[in-house]
Amino acid sequence: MATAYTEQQSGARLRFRLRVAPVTAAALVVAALSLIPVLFILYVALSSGWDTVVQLVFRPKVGELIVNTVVLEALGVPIASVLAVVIAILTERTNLPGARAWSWLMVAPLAVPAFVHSYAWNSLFPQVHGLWGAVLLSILAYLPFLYLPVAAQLRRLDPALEDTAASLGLSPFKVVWRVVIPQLRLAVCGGALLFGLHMMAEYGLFVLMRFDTFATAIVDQFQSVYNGPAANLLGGVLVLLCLLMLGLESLARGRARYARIGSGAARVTKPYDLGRLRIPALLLPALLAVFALGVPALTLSRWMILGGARIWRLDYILPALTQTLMLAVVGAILTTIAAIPIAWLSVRAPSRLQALMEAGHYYTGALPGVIIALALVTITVRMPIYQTVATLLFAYVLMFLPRAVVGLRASIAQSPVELERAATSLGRSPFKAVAATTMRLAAPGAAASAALVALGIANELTGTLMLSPNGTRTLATRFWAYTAELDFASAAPYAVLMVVLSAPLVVLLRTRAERISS
Amino acid sequence: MTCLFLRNVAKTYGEVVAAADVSLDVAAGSRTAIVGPSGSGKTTLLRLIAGFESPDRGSIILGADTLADGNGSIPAHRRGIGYVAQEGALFPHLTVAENIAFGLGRGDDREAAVHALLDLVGLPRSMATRRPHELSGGQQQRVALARALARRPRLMLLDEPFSALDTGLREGLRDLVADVLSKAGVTTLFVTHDQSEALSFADHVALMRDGVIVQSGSPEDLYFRPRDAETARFFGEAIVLDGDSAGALGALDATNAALMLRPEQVELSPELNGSPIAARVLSRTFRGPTCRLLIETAKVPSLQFKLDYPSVDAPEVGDIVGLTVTGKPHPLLG
Amino acid sequence: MKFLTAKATTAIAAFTIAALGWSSSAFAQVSLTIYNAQHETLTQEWADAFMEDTGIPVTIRNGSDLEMGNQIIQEGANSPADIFLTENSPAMVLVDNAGLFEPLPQDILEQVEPGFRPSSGHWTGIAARSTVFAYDKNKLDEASLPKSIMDLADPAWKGRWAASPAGADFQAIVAAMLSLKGEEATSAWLKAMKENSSAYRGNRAAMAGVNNGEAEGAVIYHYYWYGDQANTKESSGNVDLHYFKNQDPGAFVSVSGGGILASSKHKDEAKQFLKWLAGPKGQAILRDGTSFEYAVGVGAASNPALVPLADLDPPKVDPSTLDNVKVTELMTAAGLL
Repeated sequence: MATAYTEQQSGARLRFRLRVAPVTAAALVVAALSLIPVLFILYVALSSGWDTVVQLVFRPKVGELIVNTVVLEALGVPIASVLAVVIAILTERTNLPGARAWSWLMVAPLAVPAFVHSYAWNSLFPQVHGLWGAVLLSILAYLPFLYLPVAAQLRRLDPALEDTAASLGLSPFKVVWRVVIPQLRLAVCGGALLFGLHMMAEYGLFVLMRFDTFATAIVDQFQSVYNGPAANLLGGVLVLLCLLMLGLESLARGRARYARIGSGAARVTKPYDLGRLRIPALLLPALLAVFALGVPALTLSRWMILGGARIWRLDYILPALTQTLMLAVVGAILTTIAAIPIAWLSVRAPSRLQALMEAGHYYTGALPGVIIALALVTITVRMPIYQTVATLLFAYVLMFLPRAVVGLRASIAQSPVELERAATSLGRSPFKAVAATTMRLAAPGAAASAALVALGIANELTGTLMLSPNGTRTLATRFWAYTAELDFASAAPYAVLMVVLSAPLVVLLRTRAERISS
Repeated sequence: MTCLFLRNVAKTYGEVVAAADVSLDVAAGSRTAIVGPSGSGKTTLLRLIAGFESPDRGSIILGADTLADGNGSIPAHRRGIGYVAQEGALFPHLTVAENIAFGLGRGDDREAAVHALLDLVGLPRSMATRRPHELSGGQQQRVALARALARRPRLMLLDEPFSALDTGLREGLRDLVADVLSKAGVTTLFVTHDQSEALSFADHVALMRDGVIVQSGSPEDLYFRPRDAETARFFGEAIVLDGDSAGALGALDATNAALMLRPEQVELSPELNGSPIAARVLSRTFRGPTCRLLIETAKVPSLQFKLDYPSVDAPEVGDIVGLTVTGKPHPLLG
Repeated sequence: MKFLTAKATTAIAAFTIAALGWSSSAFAQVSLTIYNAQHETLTQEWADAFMEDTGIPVTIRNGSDLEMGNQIIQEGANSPADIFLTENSPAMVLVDNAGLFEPLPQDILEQVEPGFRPSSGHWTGIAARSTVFAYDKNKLDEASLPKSIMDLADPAWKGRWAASPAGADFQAIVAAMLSLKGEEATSAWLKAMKENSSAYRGNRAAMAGVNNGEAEGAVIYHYYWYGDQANTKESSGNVDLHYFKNQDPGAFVSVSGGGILASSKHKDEAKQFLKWLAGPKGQAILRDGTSFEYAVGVGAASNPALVPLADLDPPKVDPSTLDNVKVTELMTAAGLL
């Protein structure tokens, strides 16, 4: 029963494409703007001449960096995926004591910026560094990106599948292995992509781990030669690695369908009994909580106690707080709006063009803030928007577009297209129809994606340092400045405020987590 | 051949009593329907038998094995009971062949078994490599059936097997499934809220209401000899005569018990010639081959009931018609 | 939860417009913009005191030496910077070679010791720091310390010392080495450094590495040790400082520079600031504050806790010969960058 396109159907497809043309155009605009960093890199490469490119790209240091990155990802992504799946199953589907509390604790590390994790660990356990330190810290900081979609997907699974598998003779463990885990594939892929992209772009966390990645090498070059070709060419290699990762994720997803077939009964599933493993299983989430939350809490408290009252300089702290808030909120809204066209297209009107555009939206998430900032500085340096908030916000949009797209895509997919069609038939223009139905339904999910973006902006460091207007201080840049001067006590309030600011965003994320799964 | 026995099974979820006190015997090789309105507890019963839940009280015995009683219960994966969920519940990440062979062990000749099962359920062998989402609803149900039968279970449980399908497909699939199950010779227990499905598909029917089995027996038993008015109405149109309307339909023994007649027991003649009972047509709904007429008896105007009459010469509204009763009315207990 | 209601849209639009206009309309009155590569707290101290003294508001943009130097060059005549302050000299040389500095008036130059400013008079020193070898006092004693910084290239020092090669501080030291010992020797030393040393990011981190026993010594600047000692001591409890002296490249005293951009629109105020900085009041902050850098003003005393400048016996290096472009080239070739 293969479907063949009749003439009528292909005519309908054309009409459909024409109708969605405005959305496609909008997505194209965003994708084109996202290309700015890579076009900039290409421009630098071309203007440097082939000899320089060869000399700067094909050298041992770059080989070192590639190996480092590949090994980091090859270790980090699988370990984090396994951890996320195991702990998500434990907290969502078993009778683990305090499962609800653990699931919150698993998401909480998102409230602590990655570089604060790094500082906290380095202060308590300076022996932790190098590759394994980098892997450990990456997992502690970014595991929530994997845990959230997997846990959300687990909650949405059709219980009938597991019942059926049991009736077919599979023990509970085998049911989990052969039926539950395969259904998590999409969620793991989406989460792993975010995880991997963030690892590639992360700077502050790896600085203290003394582990060289492209991001750290780029900043090193940048701080030595500013806009030299070496920094930009390293960025070029990074873009290639990122595209490679996107390709891998796409392969891993496969073409199979994973969504529930049919509506299914919304039944609360019986939790699996862990039996004798009930108490020992606590070790896993407990250990993670101590590492990811306990260590930063301890270090920050220690610094604050050592610092006393003098570290609370409100005349510095309050402006930093308000500036951070403003940038985060406006940036998050702009990013979410920018993500809507491609997210809608990828759910309602997938095509090869759309897939290409989507890749354009994602790759910027792998670039360290430095590259994006570099590109924008070069372009805007003679323009009136140089060193204004506009440029900074634009950089944020580019940097955090992937987060917004992934979340929006999932929440738009939740709302059936029939609603849009119904609204159109009731006389709404297509745009209004989408706004009234899908967007309304997707709003909670969109809010969650916006929260994720705001979180990223509040903690963003290098791009902010480079692009912000003179006199702008965010919590992150203040923290970084103080720690660079050994003044941990003064840095502590800023770290604490970053955590406090992030906490409600994390809460929002967690309660809307159902929407953020691929 | 194994029989299933349920003895005083009870299950409560928090405040809700899903099963109050259920006892049932299922004969070997039979097709038994548990039927009842939504919320009557029939799905719970099925899940208790399958082993997905444990009863609070009572025992479940299959053949020589006690599946569940006060001392404990055998987990679902060791019961050897086949289960087909409401919408098939095929594993979306596996092909049809992998789905069917899911419960088979390593040693069995999987390909041959899959082909044999596909043949059994009337699906082409080429379907083995398809994915579930490429199949229609009916095809999915058949694959689910094949999958459950693959392990040669001693009991098959079907949860509302046809309710997800279009009406047009339902009957065809029903016949096919009946055929398959007979050929396999396996005891079948299925749950449905559709009474005509229960009557046609099963050879033994149990009606459940509010967590208890109200009546069980052959389909004819439940149709012609229901225990009470509610049961009677569940299985089709019923004319209940009690109290005032007792003598409405002519020379009938007017005892104190309520009486039930099925509309098809009442013959209608368009003219009132010598028919013992006079009646008037109140409304007439054309339904294709037949018209549904709302009749009011002359003697007791409060007694109104619906009759079907071939449309070709059905009487009009307001016509006076004559009724003749065939067969004996059935006394109801409650 | 309504999404994009009319109210929300208007609010967002208003917010964004306000944000866009934010930076440009921030200061209605004349104010100075400093591109600052010095430590933020020190410059803030200077700026606050200057503002209190003169009433002229100061806005600080922070970055690192070469980053900002190159940024100024790229901005060219459009640069909003009035003043450029650095931690080391190479960045000043870079900007000077691009011809972007305004020659300084005599009254500013007179305030600074001649050794701490270039002869061109296009910029001046504002503070100074000494290269040191911070070592683990539990592991190394007087006899086992390196006599010269060049010794660290010996195979005997493999895996024993640390530095922060990506930082402008260290690159200034390398620039001095290049100026004193030439390209060949410096290149060889750098290649040996790749083999022998572990790379940290930041001098503090390098010092902390020594403190934790990860390395026996590190090549950093002196004030990191003093700063930590005055604070919590958590990165320097086990560390002592070794001064190379003997005009060794390892005794290099790096000059922090200050200059006025030729493109500045507030040259008078900028001159006021630099004069103040190089004068007794600005230099007093070096003496009394917590930066622990050396004062360079004529007759200005440094923090009493420090080893006096006169005792350091540094090599004579003309700040305008420090070539960072070459240094980056050599370090990239050695695989350090």
